Amino acid sequence: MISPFVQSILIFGGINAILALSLYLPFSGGQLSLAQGGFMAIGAYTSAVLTRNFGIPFSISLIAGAVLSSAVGVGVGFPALRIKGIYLLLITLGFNEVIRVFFLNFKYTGAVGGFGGIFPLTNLFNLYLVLILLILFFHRFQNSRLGRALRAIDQDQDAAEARGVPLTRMKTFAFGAGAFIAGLAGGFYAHFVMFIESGTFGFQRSLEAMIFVILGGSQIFYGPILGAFLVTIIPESFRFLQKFRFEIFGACLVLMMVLRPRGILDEEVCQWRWWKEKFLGKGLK
Amino acid sequence: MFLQQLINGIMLGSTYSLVAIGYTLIFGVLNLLHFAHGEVFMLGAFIGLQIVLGLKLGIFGVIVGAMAGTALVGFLIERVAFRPIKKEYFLAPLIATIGITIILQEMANKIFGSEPVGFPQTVEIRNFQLGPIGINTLQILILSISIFLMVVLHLFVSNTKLGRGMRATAENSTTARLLGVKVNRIIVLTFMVASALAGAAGVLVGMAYNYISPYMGAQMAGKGFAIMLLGGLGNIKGAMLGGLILGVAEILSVGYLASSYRDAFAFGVMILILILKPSGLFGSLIHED
Amino acid sequence: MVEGKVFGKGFEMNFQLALPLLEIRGATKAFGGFNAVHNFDLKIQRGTIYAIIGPNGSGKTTLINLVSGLLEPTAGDFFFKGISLKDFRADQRTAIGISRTFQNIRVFSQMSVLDNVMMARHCRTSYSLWNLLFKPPFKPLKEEVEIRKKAEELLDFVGIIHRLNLKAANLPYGEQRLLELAQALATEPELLLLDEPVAGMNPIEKDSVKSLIQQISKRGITVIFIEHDMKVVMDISDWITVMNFGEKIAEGEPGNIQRNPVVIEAYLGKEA
Repeated sequence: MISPFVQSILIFGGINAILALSLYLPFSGGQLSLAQGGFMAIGAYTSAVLTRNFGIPFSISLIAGAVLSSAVGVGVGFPALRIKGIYLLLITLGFNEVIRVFFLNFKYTGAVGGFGGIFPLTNLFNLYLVLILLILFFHRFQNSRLGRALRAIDQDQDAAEARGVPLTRMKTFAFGAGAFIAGLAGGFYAHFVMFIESGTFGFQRSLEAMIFVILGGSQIFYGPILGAFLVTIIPESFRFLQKFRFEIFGACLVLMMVLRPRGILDEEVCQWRWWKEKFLGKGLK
Repeated sequence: MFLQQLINGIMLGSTYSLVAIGYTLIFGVLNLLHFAHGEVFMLGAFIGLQIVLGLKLGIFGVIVGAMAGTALVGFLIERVAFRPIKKEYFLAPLIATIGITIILQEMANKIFGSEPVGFPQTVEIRNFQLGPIGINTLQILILSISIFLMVVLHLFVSNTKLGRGMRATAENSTTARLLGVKVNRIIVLTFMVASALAGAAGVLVGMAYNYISPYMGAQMAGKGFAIMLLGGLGNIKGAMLGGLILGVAEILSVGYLASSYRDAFAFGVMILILILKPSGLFGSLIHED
Repeated sequence: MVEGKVFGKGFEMNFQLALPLLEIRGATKAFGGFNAVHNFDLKIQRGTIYAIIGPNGSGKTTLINLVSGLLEPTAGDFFFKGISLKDFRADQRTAIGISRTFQNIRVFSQMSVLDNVMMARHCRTSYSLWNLLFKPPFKPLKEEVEIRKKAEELLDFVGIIHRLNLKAANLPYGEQRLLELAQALATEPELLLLDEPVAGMNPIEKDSVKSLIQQISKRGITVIFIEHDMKVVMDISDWITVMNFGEKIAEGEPGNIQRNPVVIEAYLGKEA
């Protein structure tokens, strides 16, 4: 059927897409979190321990890990409520590191040696099923009163509050739900690579999530998905550039920021109207 | 014992300060979180290494050479990754610096190999004993060079025309421009000065620990941010003191707690500051809206 | 006496007719050593149109910010429908019936005109995440349909229904003010605070806003507005309060205020 190599790319792509979506939620409410790596770690370790040490079925462990992640997410989100912009970036980075150092020292999950022997329970089917469910969720969420409230908070927090949006509730929700989704990504990751250690979930992971969102398009939820797949797939396809693939990636980042800082996808690009106008010109109504 | 740790901490901290000053300077003047600044620090160490091996200069030559090299790197970064980017979206320059980080790290990896290397001796080590404290010439040298550079920077920023231009741009670049400050030149200058200081720090750290690697920049980044917050964003004196404080805290934590907590220390500090006193210990020049 | 609960705070609503809708007692707001508002009293009765006027910097906007919850008072009590507003956040105040517009127009520029008004319905609708997730596919939630209908009604009322899908940033200035008005009305306020609703408009636009305010008042919404355009103020207000240096210096019917020497002096300065 599909070669293992292609399978693994698709799986990593799917996991990254879920991670990217986990950042998109708080980001759409104006909260840039660099703690998604840490939330992923919690989901990964928790679900791995539950399946390996307690024989609990994958689907339940996955959700349990995500729930624990979201609880921590709410805990992180709460002090971060009043904090904006650069400061939020830094405080979430700090939390990410704290989580990483925690797992570095936590004997039960292997501390420095990592946690291995995890059952390979992730496959294309269950991963993409969850991804599709998430897409449905975001589609409904975007056009609901909750989605609108978050977008309003993003653009003008005080005005949103004046229009009746409860800031604390919404922002904490966004953080917690984002952490939940990151926990799912962690669970799938752990049960694919079968061995995890604290270093995999450091702030590089959080930065990756940010890059997926920014590159793919931060205005609409398809953007992060596209960004995740592009970043996962493209370096692999240019194996002959293997030696320089990181440098090229770095250069692409810089180039994108110069040319199209908001990312590839935005609301306009996603509408047929825009493409029709581009190619056929405006005029006849 | 404690006093010994204190001295070691101050020595380590002074090198941190040099790098942190760069972060806070760039943030103050340009409103940019310069992710790649840690890589500039790393390049300083490697450039210094090449100078020692190739040109066989003494310590001062090495430092000056490294500073010149990193200043050039800073100039290029400004040209390529900062100037062409529209500033309205605050994340765009930030992401671009992440791109530069990746490029510099990987290039250093290719050119110098990913294994840590040692830094050859350039000074004769003589050990002194001041009461309970042991200190050697290398440490004295590092501390004095760091302090010297910081003093020079401070004088530059407070007393020269260019320094005033920097402070004006930090406050309000539009007004500064209207008042005749050549803001674009100031921006380039800021990058170069910050990078030069980081380069010097790279050489000093390399000499102090006899250990440099292409990944030392990444480690430095987190500490740099923590110090910047500790001292107050944009506050140079704050960065100087913050670096010393972090250095001392790290050494003490290694002494009295497990060493694997060391890196988390910086971040723990960062979180506490952000929650308790976001404007930093010494007050930030920037008022986040 | 009628008892009710809002956000878990118990309150008693007293239906005595003489109770003012909004009562401000001794409001003070100090910024450092500077009193933006000082010892200000005000009673607002239902169903009338009030104007607050005064020279620039006299504290009018600060007063509105205190009532809407954007700022915390240094001292003073605020009562709305008999309830103390002390522990009510801005979004809670909107939910109990206070709504406002901003001097410098704060609509959500990147959202469409329709979305701008629809989001203001947030506090008047209550469907939760679960309703959203488990609703049948392709059939919009009943509440969403209602939100959209109400938003379109309001946009029609203020006259910009033809701009439905435009991004708010692309609206001309006057229409952005109308959009903000529609937003403020979408929260179903009993008290509407307008901060310079006709600033920067041409006479035709001003007339249309005047008429809108009067229609709003007829619908039972009490309006307080800040304005510098004296013609507008004199034409539609039932009662005027004049501020200077953060304090009330006069109040009364439009005719009396016009002739009041203290007011004239505040605007024009002392006779040399």
